[in-house]
Amino acid sequence: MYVYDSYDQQIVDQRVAQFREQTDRFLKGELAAEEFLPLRLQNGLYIQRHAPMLRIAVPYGLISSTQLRRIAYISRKYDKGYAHFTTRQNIQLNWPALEDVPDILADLAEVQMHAIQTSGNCIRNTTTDQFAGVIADEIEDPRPWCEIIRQWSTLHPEFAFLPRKFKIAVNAATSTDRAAIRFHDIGLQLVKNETGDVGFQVFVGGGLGRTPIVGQEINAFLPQQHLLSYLEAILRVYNLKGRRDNKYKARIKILVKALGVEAFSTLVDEQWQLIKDGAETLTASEIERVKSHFVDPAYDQIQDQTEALAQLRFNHPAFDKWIQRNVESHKKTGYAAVTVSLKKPGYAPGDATAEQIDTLANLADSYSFGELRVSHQQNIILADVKQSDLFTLWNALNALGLADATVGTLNDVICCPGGDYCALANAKSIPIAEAIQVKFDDLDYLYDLGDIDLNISGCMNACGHHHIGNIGILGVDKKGEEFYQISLGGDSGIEGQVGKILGPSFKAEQVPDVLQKVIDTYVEKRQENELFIDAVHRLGLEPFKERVYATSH
Amino acid sequence: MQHLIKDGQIIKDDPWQLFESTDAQGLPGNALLPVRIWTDFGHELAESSLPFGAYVCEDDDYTELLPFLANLQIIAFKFGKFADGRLFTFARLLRMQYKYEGEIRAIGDFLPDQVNFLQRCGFTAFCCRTENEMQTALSVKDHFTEQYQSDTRLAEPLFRRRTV
Repeated sequence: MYVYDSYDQQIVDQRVAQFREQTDRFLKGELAAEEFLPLRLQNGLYIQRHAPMLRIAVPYGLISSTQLRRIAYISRKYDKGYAHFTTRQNIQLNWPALEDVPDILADLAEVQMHAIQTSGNCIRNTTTDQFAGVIADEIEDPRPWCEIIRQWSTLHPEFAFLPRKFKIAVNAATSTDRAAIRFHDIGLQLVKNETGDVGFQVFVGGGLGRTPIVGQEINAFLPQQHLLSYLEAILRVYNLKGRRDNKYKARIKILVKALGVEAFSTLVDEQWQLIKDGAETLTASEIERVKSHFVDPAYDQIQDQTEALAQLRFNHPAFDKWIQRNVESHKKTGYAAVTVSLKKPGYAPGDATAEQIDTLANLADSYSFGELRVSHQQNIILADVKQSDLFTLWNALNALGLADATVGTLNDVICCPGGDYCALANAKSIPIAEAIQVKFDDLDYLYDLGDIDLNISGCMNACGHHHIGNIGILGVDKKGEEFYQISLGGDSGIEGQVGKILGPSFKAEQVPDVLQKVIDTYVEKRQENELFIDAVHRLGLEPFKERVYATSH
Repeated sequence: MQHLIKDGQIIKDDPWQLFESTDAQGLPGNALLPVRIWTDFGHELAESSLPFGAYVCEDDDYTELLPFLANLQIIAFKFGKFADGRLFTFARLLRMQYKYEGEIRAIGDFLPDQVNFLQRCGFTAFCCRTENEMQTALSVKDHFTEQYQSDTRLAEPLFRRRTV
């Protein structure tokens, strides 16, 4: 992974000192609350329902065991001994005291971490595929490009006060899109042209929130050396032209829609021509320098362990299920990528205790070269595990209660913190996730249902990405009462689709039964081996509506 | 103007004043005039023996000033709301695209904490809201001694300067 040199360290250290000084001034009453607001937000600090919330950046989801241990330490020292992994591959602490935040940031800086631009109207953490660099099916490792974007966007002087937040995602896989790039302000798809050169297909104006829109292509092939000048041109057009009169219409998607993608891309090209081939043009040596941080770890030359694993799987049915659901094939023979589910019923999706976090760090040291990844589905990945270690690792995870073999199933819920924590939320989301997990707790039944993305958001801001869940649940407020709207058919992958709303919303206690009816309809009407999402697209919403809204006699 | 920092120094006797007007008659020297006046009477103003400047708000079209850049010793950008970042880009384009070399001054509702980024976008003078804010701006404006990007002050991004 990327390791800071003295330049990177200096910038992060100076950011900590700057925030300490700003916090001091605020606490002394020399800085008004509304003026401190954008300054603290640019450093990931929200004032939430119960306490401040600090969002810590995990650049493109990659974290070392040393860094993860520091998170556990901070959560014990300054918080309540747990942390929350987010849908944007970051980490949140829900209970830090404002006065402690400069010290927390200093503790983070010691292990090359920060909270820079994790909120506010600026360029946020760049995200990518949680299996980047270890899957066979990718153009090249996207992480060096994410790091190049991280450095360019960090403390960019011109783009700190944009109309609204700005999110960039990169995908390098050719057959799938785990980074949901078409639902980002800018989506970058690594591609090869006819002559074999690697560049980017650029999408712009995708997003969720109140107005879900699939991003549109504005450049079919951007040569790699022009990445930063092109991003700069897009941001400049957005900073000048994006709406600032209404925060719900301020995202770049609204601008692209209003101008039309043709006119928007003409404006971008005009700006780009001014700076193309300028100082921000990437040099081959810089690209090589960053790539040198992402070379393969010291893999052993070993064979796949198919037969040995088959025996273990036969003897241990639970291990077999775990291999099926939670273990991904690897580009290197003899290795596998393991997803640790953080979706235990009774706990908020994406939450982990300090003890679990410490143990995960130890397991990463023992079995995965000391590195972990956070996925957009709020799980943790050990990406470089020897197949011969899988059974030992499974036993260790089992002891922690982290071996639930539910990845990709209805139980692997994506969920925002919701009304229990978040000041913006209209409705609670965690209890809804729990009620569904309790209703659908039979593993064999879940496996029979196969892959189903269930995404829950507590409000229109869509942090739980409900629009792109195969099943999406949105909390809404009706005259002070919490209701839930259900949508079907959303797809975050390469097909990129927004789900359609089923009909009138439901009370919290009705949601699990409604979901049961949706699932029953699928089970009755599915064709052989047909996934839920494919069945919804084939059947349309009608049969689901009929079942769900049928009046009982 | 008061509480003014220019090229890193406190300036006590600055002659420039904002001047609201709808015509070009009887204007005092050292008046910072709205873009509108330059649009309508720019050629007359350019021929005057008196020094005039301009001030630009977020919703103004600063490109109306382009024919007169050589006559403008100073262009002030007046922040209506500190969280509106358009003026950062206006200044950057004025330096980068239109090669303006005169003074770019921040006035209005900006924060001392923004001075560092404003400097990097081409601003050279800062008219702070209070004496306190001026002192804060002076102490924090050069807080960062390293940066990743190129800007109007530093021609090369870090990746072209980094020594391993």
